[in-house]
Amino acid sequence: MKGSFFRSMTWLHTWVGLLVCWLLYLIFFAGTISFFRDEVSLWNQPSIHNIEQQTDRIGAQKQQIISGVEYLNTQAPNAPNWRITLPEERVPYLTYGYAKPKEPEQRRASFENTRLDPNNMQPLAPFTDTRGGNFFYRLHFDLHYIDVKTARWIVCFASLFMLIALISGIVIHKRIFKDMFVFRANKGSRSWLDVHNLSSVFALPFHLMITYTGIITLIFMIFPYPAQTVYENGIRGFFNDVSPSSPVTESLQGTAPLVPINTVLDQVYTKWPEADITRVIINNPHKAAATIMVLVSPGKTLRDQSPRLIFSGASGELVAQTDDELTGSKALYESLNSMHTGRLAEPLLRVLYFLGGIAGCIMIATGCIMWAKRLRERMKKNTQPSWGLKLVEGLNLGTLMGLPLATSAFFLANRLLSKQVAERADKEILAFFLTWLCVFIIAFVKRDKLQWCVMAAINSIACFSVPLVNALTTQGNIISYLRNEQWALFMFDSLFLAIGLLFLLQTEKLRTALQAKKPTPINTQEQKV
Amino acid sequence: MQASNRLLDFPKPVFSMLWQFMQRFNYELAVLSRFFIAIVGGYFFTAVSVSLLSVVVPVSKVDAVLLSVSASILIYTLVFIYSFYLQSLKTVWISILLSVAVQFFILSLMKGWL
Repeated sequence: MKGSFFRSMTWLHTWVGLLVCWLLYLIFFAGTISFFRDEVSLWNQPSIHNIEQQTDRIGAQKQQIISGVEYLNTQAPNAPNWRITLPEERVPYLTYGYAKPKEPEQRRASFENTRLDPNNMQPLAPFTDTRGGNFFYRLHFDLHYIDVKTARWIVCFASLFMLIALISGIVIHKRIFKDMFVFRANKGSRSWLDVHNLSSVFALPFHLMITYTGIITLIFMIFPYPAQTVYENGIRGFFNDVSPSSPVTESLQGTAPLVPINTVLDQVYTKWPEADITRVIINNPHKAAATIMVLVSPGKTLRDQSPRLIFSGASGELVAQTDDELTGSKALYESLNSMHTGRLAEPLLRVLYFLGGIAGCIMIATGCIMWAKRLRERMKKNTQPSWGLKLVEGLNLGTLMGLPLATSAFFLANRLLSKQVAERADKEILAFFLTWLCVFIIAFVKRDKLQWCVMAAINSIACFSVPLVNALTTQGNIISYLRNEQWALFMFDSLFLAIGLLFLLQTEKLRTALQAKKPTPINTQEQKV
Repeated sequence: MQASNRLLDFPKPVFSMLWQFMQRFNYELAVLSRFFIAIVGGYFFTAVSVSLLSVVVPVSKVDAVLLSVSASILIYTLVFIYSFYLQSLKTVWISILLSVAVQFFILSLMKGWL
C-alpha cells in the first residue's frame, strides 16, 4: 500500500493487529483456560473432589448403563429423552438425566440430572450452581451479555484479522531462526519486540493452526454457501447427510416396549470390543419411533464427531451409524476441528496446548504494549500524548491486568459465595465482569507505571489468595492434593501460586523502576537510549 | 484536477465541501476503502469461489461441501492480503469485483439459475 511490499505488510501487521488485539487477548486467554475445562469444572465443585478413580472404568460401563436405564424407567418413563453420561478420565462422576417437559419460552428442554459416585453407585449431593470451565469455554467464542450470533461473527472476524496479522508478521520477519535466540533485556521497546518475536516464533505452528481451525469450527455460520449451492434444501439437508440419522424410524407412530438394553450393548461390543462408551441417549423411550444412540470416545484419533451407533428402540436393530473410514475431505474437516478442541490430547499434549495458548497471550500482550511504547519513545518532550495513544494505553492496562484479576475474582467468588444464593452461577460471572470493569475505570482515569505496579500487586495478592481461600473453605488444600495424588487440583492451585509469584516479580521490577525515576524528574530512560 | 475543483466549487457549495473533505482525508479514505474491499470484497469473493469449488470438484456432495469450507479461510486470507499488497487501489477494486462477477456468472450457468 505504501511503497514496497515489505512496508505495506508492516503497515498491515501493525494496524490489523492493533485493531483487534484486546479482543484477541480475551479469546486466547479464555480459550487457553478451556483446554482444562473439565479440570476447572472439577475445582469449582468441591463436593466431588474426593471421588476415587475407578479401578476398571471401561469394564464397569455395561453395568452402569443397565442400571441407568432401570433408574430412568422408574423415575421418568414418559420423558421424551433419557441421557446416561458415563464417567471419563477427567470427569469422575456418572450422570443419569431426563428431559423435563419444555416450557413455552424455552428453546431446548432442561434436564433433571442425578449424579452418582461410580464406585458405590450412591447419588451425590446436589451440585453447587456454577458454570465452571464452561464459562471460559463459552466466553472464548460467545463472549457474554451479547447476542450469541453477533458475538460469533465478531469473534470470527477478529480471528481472521489474527490470521492476517500472523501471515504478514511472518512476511516482515527477516531472520526467523536467528530471533529465536535473541533477547535484549532492559532496552525499552526493543525488549518488548524480542519477547513478541520469541513468543510468536516458538509457537508459530500452534498460532497458525489454532487460529485457522478456530474459524473452521464456526465455518458453517460464516460460509453456508457451498452447502446451500450443493443441497436443494440448504444447510439442513447437508447436516442431515453428515450426521447419521434414520428418517424411517423417526416417522413411526404409536407405542412399543423398549428392547432390553443388553441386546443393544452386545451389538456395540461385537462391533467394537474395546469400546469406551461416553454416552447413551435414548429418544422417545417406549414409543415405536424410539432410538437408542450409543456414543463411544474417538480415543486418540483425529476425529471430532464421536463414533456412534443408532439402534431402533423398538426392535433393537442397528439403523444408522457414523462412517468407519473417513473420506479425504471428511478426514480433513474432522481433523481441523479436533485439532482445535484438543479433546484427543493426552496430559502431556494438553500441557503443550496450554503453553502454546500462553505463548499466544504473551504475543498479543507484547504486541499491544509495544505499539504504545514506541509512540511514547518517539514523542518529543513536553508534548501531550494524543487521544489515540491514551486510549491504547488505557485498553492495555484494563485488558492485560484486568482479565487475570477478573479470573481470580471468578474463582474466589466460587468459594466465597454462599451456596444458597439465588442464581449463584450468574453471580460468579457478575463478580468476573465487575472486577474487570473496576480495572477499566482505573485504567481510564490514570495509566502510568504506578497504576501498573499497583495492579500487578493486586493481581499477585488475588492469585495467592485463590489456593488460600480454597484451603480455608474446603476440606482439601494444596498439600493434601499432593499427598493424595489429586493432580488436577494440585496443578490448579500451584499454577495460581506460580502466576502470583510472576506478578510479584513484576511488582518489584516496576517498583524499582519507579524509585529510580524519582530523584531526577527528567525522563532518565531517554538518556540511556 | 485544479480545473475540476473550480468547476465543482462554483455552482454547488455542498460538492465543494465534500471535495475538500476528500482532499483533506485523502489518505484516511483510501485506507477505509481498502479495508472495505478487503473485508467485504474478500467475503463475497470467498463465498462465490467456494460455492463454485463445491460444484466443480468430482466427489460426493458431503465431501465437496466439507472440502470447500475447509479451504474457505485460506482463500479469504489470500484475497485480504492481495488487496493490501497491490499499490493501486483502483486495480484492487476492479480485479476483485470482476472476478466475483465472472465466478458468479460461471456458477449461475452451471446451476442453471439464468
